[in-house]
Amino acid sequence: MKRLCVVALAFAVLAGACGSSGSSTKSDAKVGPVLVNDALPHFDTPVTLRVLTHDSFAVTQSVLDEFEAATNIRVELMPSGDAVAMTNAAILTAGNPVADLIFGFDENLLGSVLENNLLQEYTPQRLSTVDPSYVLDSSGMATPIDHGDVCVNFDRVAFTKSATQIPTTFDGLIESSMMKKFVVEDPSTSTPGLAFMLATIAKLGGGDDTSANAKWLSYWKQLKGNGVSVVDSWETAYYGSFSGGSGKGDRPLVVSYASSPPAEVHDISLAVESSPTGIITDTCYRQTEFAGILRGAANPRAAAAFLEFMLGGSFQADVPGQMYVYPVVTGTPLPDTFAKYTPAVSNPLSLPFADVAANRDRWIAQWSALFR
Amino acid sequence: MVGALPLMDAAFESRGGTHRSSVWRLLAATPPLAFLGVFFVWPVFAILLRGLRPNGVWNLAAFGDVFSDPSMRRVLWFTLWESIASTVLCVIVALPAAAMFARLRFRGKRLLWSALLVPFVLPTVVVAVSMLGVIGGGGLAGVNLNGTVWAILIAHVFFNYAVVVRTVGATWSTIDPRLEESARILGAAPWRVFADITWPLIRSSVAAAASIVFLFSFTSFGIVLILGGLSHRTLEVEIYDQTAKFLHLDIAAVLAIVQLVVVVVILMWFGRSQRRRSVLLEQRSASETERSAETPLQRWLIRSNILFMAVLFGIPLGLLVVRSFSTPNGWGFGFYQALADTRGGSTSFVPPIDAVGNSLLFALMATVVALALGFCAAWAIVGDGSDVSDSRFSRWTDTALMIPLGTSAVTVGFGFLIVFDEPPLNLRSSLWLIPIAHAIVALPFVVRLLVPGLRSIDPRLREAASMLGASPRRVWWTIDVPIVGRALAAAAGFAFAISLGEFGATAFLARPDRPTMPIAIYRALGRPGDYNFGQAMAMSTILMVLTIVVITVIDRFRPAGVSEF
Amino acid sequence: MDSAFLSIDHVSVRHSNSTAESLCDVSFDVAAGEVIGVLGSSGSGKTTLLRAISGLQSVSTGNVVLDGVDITKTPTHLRGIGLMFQEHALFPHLDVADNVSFGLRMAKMPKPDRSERVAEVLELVGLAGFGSRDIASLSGGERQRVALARTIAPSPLLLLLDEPMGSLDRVLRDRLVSELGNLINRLGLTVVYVTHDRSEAFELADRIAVLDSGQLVQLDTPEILDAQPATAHVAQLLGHR
Repeated sequence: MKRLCVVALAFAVLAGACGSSGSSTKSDAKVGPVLVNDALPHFDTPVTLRVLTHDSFAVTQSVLDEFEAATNIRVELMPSGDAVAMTNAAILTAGNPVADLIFGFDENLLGSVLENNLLQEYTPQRLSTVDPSYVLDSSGMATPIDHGDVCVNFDRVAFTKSATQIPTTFDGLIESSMMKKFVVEDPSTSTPGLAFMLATIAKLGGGDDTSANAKWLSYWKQLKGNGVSVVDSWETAYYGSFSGGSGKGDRPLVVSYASSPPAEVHDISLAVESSPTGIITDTCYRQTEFAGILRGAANPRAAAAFLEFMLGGSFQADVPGQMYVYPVVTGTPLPDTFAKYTPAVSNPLSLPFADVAANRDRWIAQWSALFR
Repeated sequence: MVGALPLMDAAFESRGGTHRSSVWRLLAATPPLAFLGVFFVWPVFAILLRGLRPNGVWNLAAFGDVFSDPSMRRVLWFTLWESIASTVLCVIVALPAAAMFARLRFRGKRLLWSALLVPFVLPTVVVAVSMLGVIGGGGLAGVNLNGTVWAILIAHVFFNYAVVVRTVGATWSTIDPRLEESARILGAAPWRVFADITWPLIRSSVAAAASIVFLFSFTSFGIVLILGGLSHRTLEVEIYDQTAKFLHLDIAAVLAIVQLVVVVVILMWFGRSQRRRSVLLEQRSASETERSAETPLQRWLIRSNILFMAVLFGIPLGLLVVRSFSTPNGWGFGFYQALADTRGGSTSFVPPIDAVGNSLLFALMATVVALALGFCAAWAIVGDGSDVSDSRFSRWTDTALMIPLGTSAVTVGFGFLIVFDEPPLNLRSSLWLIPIAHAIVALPFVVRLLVPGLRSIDPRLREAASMLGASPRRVWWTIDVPIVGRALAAAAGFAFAISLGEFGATAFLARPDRPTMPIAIYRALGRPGDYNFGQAMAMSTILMVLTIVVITVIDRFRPAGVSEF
Repeated sequence: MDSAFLSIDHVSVRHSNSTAESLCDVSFDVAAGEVIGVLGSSGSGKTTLLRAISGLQSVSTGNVVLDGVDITKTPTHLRGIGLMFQEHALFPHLDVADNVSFGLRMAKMPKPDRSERVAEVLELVGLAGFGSRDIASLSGGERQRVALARTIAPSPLLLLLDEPMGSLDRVLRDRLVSELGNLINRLGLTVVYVTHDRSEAFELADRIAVLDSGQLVQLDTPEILDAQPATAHVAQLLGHR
């Protein structure tokens, strides 16, 4: 009797597993233009749009309300982990997605997004307003929405107190005076950590070198010799190890974002020279975040409308204050604190996304071999 | 002639079956096992299959890749010894506290008993940042343990202390102290009393708690990442990376199978030392077993335990609370006020009242589900106490319920994504995901707390109820449920706490946005600046207070009259 | 006796583990209103006999027929038999009244009738006004009376008593035995009464069954039993030399 039940249960499980594997493929045709006279379309019947995001996604409620009122679309946000976990979860469900739109994968993930045929094509009409340097995907699948720069941040107070020169270059970080002063994130577990490793490859070269003596790896060897601390995540690095601003640790240098220093300022009248933290512009690596319509989406037209909305003025202007990133549409005004406390990063480092897609795992393995 | 008043004549009907009891047990075991089958076995099975049989063709090459890789072997070895060491350490330091709670009366006991669960509910990253403030570089302790295995062990004790103290303490307090006292009178030294009388009686509950600590340490993720530095990786971390980071489902599947095998082997081993207690003990109420501290030894026991807890919990948690009040403008409620202010009406902003409400709602749902299923399972495991022959069935059921604790959350989570994608079970984006996932984690706690309680019920009580006309279902409802009230309250407390604090299992699943308190804490901590950090600390403090309040209420809840036996 | 109320028909009980007592082909009839004492040394199968009648123990072979109905396969709770346990097995989480009314609740008796019946039965056993008392606060004799009250409250067709005086001291026991005898007579109950105490059996029973190693060795009135014990073992049990 007992055994019979177990067998029956196993069969039920198997039957279920088989039943679900043959999922239907919905239309993946190109989505046509949705804007009406350059304005968002209004849907006659209410539509629910599901947007898959990473956990850091944020938008001002009133800005979102405007969109919902204009279009008759109800937006359901679905946070699902960090950008990497979100993207891989979407890849796993490619063709039968949980949402209509995905937002928040960066160029390091772009390769696998395209390779796995995750998206359907839609070229936003408003793409023409975007600075062309952010339009990395020529196939019209992934639309750039915002960008950020991963940079080394410094604790101005600590450097002033110890009367040490603040480093301005990669080389400055390996000087003996910076012994045990720098904390970075593990590139295998953290997005800014990966960006900083890519920055060293972009700057120092040797990305093709599979040996342990690649140029960029030699730099890391020197960092290691200089007592660099590697932690799992941005939270641990910034709050647990960094001494500047709101950090509670004892190291004055940390890999964070170009947008971090404005967040440490509470009083806009504070002089830039006395703001608690700052960035080393030479170390900045560009990160662009993309959005796209998921293949098999239930409401591709609503998703397209949301894409247009994200490239619209109100959303673009909202991006710095909500997500600590920068708009991609040229001419979008920045909040005062951003304009004042973060120097413009004129020539950020970057690597072609196809190179990153092809080599990322090997680079991480090479890096890991050095640090584990 | 009052005698043969045919009150129950109508009830006479023949219902066959000499194996009545085993049929009932099977019926009782069905809901929890079916629940696990659908929400655990199926998704895990599907994701493993996706890894090992990607396009309908078996691909087992990953086995060779994994087993020939020395770094994978290192990971497995480290995971094993780290979790065994954590378990042993945790049991050693927690047993004296269990003794204190079980035997001695002291001021603030009830509050402390509830507060024990606080570390259990706090998000890992919050605790880790606080711990770094103590044992990290430049920390209060003056010694930097960051990145060492000691930091991992200390954190594991921090999180799991309550599991041992509350599980063992609850059992210990029901043991008649006169057993120990008469051993003393017969000339046994205190340690002999412990070794010969107490230990055999609490051993099964120690094994139950230890196996849970082992599983938590074995699948440790956040602690190892944050405090363990780069050189320490557990199987869980490896599985997470292979699944969520690299989407190497084949390697992840092999690792998940290795994890499963180790967990089952260890659980069977624990199961052996947990065989049913051969003597039936009459349960005593706390008021009967408690003594006020009279001997120097007893006073020393209280003092040293309190001191230990003050150091292990007081300092890091105190630091957290202090930081929640330490604003850039001096001491004050600035961060708490910031929690209540709308911050520009951001969608990422979680009004604290909403986060509290969502947390409580999910916790309530998870607790109800876990208690209902857990009671069925515990009842099936115990049976009616009359037959010993089915103990293998009991052991397997118990082990089956424990396996989810020893399984990687990402394996289950990604499995959910690929199996629940068709109606009627299109649950991938359902709000039920959260309480269901929490209930799976809470279920083994509930079962392990209820089984000893049910076993301690004199079977003659059930027989007496049966003789008075109660059907098996009514026996269960009128005898078992009220009498295991204490264990039930403890189980509800654990289930509630697990759900309040749970983050990992659901964090990476797509879910409609109903953020719980841990999610709100992570969101604040994911952004730079004093106010974001401060709000995370303030929300954590609120979570701590809420936990103490809820657990105190649950601990105080007793079905009428039970406190008197 | 042709009008058998309870009929034990070739009942055998075998336990899977051999150490426990068992029954071997036991047959006897009990008339309505009759009190049968079951005597035997420990391990003779007395308790097993009661458990087989009550359904707490399933029988290997044979039948139990009560009031013309074969109840061998009927679940315990539907048999309508009362059993008073050796250690009373009072529900520790319920007060006296709730213990006594438990069986009435199971029989779905309406609440007002229930309280009336509880009061009546408590009065009967001499515990009027004890309803709201906690079980833990009762003395040994009081517990015994509560157990009796609880057992007879639903008016069972048949009353089984398993060493009901087992845990009481001699003086109390003598008093309670005579009270119990009066009660049984007043209510006209049909009773199977297990004891190892000869005097109890002789005081209460119309007939006495003697069990030895699971077998029924003699069933007779106390007088005949006393005069003509069937075996040496019976004689020894009765205190003969």
